[in-house]
Amino acid sequence: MHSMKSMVINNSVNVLRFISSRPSSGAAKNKQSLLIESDSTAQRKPARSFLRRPRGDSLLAMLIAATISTTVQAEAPKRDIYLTPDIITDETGRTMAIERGLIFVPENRRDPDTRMIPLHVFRAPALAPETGRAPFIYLEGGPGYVFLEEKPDKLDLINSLRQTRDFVYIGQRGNTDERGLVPNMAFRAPSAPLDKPGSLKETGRRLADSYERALRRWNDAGVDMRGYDMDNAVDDIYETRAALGYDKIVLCGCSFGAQWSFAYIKRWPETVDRALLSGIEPLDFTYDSPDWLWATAARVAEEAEAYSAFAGRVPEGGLMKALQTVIKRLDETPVTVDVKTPNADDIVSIRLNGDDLRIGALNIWALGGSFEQSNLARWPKFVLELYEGDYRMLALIALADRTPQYDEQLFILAMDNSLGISPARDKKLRADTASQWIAPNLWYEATRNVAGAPPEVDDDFRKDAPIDPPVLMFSGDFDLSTPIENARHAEKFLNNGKLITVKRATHCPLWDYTLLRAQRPEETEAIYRFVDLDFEKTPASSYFEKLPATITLDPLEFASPETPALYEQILAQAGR
Amino acid sequence: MAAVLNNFFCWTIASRTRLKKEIRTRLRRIRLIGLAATATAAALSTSAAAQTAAPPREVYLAPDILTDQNGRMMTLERGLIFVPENRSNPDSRSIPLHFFRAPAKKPEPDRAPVVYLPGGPGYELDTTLPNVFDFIDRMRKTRDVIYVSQRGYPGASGLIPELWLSTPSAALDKPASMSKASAQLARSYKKALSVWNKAGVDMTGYDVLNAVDDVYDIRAALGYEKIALRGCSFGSQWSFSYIKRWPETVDRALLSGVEPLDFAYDSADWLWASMARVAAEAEAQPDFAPHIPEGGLLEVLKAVINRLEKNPVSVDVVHPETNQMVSVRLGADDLRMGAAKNFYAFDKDNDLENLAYWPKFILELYNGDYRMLAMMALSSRSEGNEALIAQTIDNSLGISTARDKRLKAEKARQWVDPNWYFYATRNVAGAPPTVPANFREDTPIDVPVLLVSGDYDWSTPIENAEHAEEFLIDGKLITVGGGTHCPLWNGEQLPAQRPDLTEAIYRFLDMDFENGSAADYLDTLPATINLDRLRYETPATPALYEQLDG
Repeated sequence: MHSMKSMVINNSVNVLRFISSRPSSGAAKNKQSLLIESDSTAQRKPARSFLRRPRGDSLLAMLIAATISTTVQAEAPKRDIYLTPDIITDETGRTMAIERGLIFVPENRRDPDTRMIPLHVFRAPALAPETGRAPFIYLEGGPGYVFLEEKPDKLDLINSLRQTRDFVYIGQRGNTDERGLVPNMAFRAPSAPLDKPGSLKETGRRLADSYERALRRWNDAGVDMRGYDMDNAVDDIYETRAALGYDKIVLCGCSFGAQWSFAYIKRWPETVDRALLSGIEPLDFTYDSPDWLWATAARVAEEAEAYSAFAGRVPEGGLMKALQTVIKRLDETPVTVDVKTPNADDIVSIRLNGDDLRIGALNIWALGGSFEQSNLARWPKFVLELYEGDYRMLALIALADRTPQYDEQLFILAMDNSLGISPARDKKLRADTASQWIAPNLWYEATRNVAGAPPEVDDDFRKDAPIDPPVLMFSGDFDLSTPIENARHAEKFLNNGKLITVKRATHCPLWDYTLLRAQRPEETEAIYRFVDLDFEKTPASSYFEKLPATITLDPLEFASPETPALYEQILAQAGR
Repeated sequence: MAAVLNNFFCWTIASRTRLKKEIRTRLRRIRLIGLAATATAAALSTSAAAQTAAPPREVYLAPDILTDQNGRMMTLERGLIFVPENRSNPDSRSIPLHFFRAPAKKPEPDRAPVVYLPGGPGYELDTTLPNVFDFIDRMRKTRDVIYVSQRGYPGASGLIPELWLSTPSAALDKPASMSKASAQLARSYKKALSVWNKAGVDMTGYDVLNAVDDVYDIRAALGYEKIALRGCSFGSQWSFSYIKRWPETVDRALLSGVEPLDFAYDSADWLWASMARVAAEAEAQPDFAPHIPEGGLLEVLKAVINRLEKNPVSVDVVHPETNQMVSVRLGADDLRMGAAKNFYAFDKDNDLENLAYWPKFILELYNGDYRMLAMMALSSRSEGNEALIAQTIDNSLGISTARDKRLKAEKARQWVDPNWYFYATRNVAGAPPTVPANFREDTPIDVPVLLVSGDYDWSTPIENAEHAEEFLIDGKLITVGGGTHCPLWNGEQLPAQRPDLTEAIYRFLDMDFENGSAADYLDTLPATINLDRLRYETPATPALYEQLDG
């Protein structure tokens, strides 16, 4: 199974195999083309012409699919892959030799006449390779992120994870920031008036309209936007695995990367060796639970209320109550706030109401901290400022929302909406008490049924099912993107898994270099051993038993109410 | 071509079928690269039957929509062509090369496309710039426009290894030294070539001849026989190389920032003459004239260089990245190695606005304010990262023995040395071979060629273009009075100031020269287009250093 891989490495040449449907192989044999045809034994024949996920209309279909996937697990349609040597250089000048490639996969596997699209992958070889080991597959989150190779912590990460296994990164289809040749599929919602208060409905409509227009524009241009869905993204992994000559893989991802992994496990379980996941997002959990997010915020609030700098400043009933009070106050009486824009000296007036806060209440990323935990550390101060009548920080958040300055990648909504939500969970979330205070699913609800987008998976696909391969999960109880309650839910379905709760951690505690790796290096090393252990010698369960159930990070240094207002700090940071 | 347009993923069936027929009836083309076989190749390339034959290449095409900063959109096709990394090696691997094709607005049958070749080398067209959007849109009036990226440029679209040339920072407490900088550059270059060659990249393939054949192969893969070339600076030299090698596949060429084949190395005397023209205009400006010392600005520049040669100076400035005060020691080589003409460092909105500050810069130096020069030194002495191809491609053209001798004897070389980095890197192991001597020779060009060159161009002096013009059988040079490098590209120059004449220049690309000769059309164009008189900044305004933002 490694024949092709060794050929690639030994000859240091690219391998460009040919699409099975290519009209003629005559040119390939022509020496002038200088293309080398692989005689890879990894993929003998195309197993099925199209990888179509069985839809939930029949149990029989599911059974047939399951049978097929257990018998022909390493077989996948033959895909062209181009590989080139490359060297990653990080910001400190350290280098790492890798192979970088483009794999040509169908844009939409449901369409037999689909065009092919190139997908960026790279592989860093194992430092001490052991034969027959499944590679480590790193999946980015978002969707919309790319692997930041130049960051020193990313290079460290690769080195930690490639001790005994190859490290393979697979880019997200449709991600316009990726290498390769991704059409610039992006859109920008139009600006909303500043002199009218915010409106959930109006915000959703603006987004849906521009999204629909962009889908039409790109579908008209010849891109098939229906192909940018989870179904196809999962099979991208499956086919890259096969094209690089591997049988099984170790999955790894946070946030959307975790969900992508869950989707892969659901579809191709026999090709999964193990999985290391954080920022847990089960398949039916694209939409976040308002109650669970609220509970997360309440944990942060509780810790802040006990923090010395807040002594005597916390209103009766606590910060969460204060937030509710402000939303009600703004619902009754919208306010007009004058702010200076951070990037220019203009002063603008913006009208705010309760909906603006429903959209922005948990938007910690706007608070001007240098990383996620430091943003979170500013959040209690933000709530207190609002309560005390300083709406300028909220005005900056609303200003950014109402006057978009950057393009959004089109595939993000397409991808997330392709998972959608089951009717049962949809009903449950709508009944969440906290949905009167925050609207975390506004974007999805607004764009869910827009024409030209990929179809949604069915309930069977989203349904929780037992997972056999070893799975190690991490989740922070201060995670405002994927609440730890998600992970507790997912844990119930692991036959051979473990959840480590990382107290005080925000999103992606293993990958965020300011969290586990910086604060608990020994525990982090123990966690990385999960990657290298041979579970045929040592059962995963005995390894899991040695790991702690909880790791507690250092207390947050909350921004004090005595420091200058967040608005003023942000302007000062921008040099205004 | 229809097949290509209808199938976005396409293995260029049409061109391949045609190719097979031709292969049967003609000699196989002999590759020129690395062989002293120019004469044979030239003989072959004049065979009309062979002109469109090219080896089959795999092509991937995808639809795309180009959007500029103003939100204007243009639907086009973007592609990757898989070409040999090194055509002189029969076992070469293939590399993907990016291109795009913007369709003609009013297509006319069988028209050669305009092929736009970027400069540098080590440059990728930024299609979000409104002026770029404008000229692509203008050029595609009747013809498809094809843009070809440079092989090996890691800043280009596609999948190119990180082929950068990193150079370490140089000491701030010693004045610049051309000899030390040259030695360091050579070491860094040699190391980078060695690292990449060992990694499995064949750096000897990143030369001008392979770049030329990339264009040739894309042309064939997209189903065209002939092409109209458009390029500035290295883009013009890439075009001249193409014309030299594949003249029968050239329909016409519109070139600016003119760089003939033996002119990769610049003439210090001609550069000095360009600087003298700017100096003369500034000296004649009534409110500037009273500030000019005896002898004029260039004598002043010489005096400053002589002064720094004898007595280097230390200058305190705020480092733009750390905001800390740093002391920089400056010497004559700081000016010689590039600062003397580096008006781009003034950080104004465009070339002309920058140039308008240059006389003021020289006077500041003369009056002992070296802070702007110190800022330039901070930048040039900091860690560098440039495209490796900037050296490999330029050095692959090299220079003839005769010109080399002449340039070394030039008087102005004691004041400005535009070629020091070529001298430093030209004989480094692991780089591509240089072209055969006769490839660089001037030869008559009989396709219609329109040259547009600015007499204030300090990268490719107008004298280059005047030299090139002598070899045009059916061509013309338009001198842009007051124009800098690439006056057609720079939005503030020809496009903004002389829109009608700009339009007339672009019409050269649209004209059908089978009905009405090129010569007749070229006759209708003026020999000179003067831009508005530049308004030079006087010493009365705050010092350049103080004007820098942040």
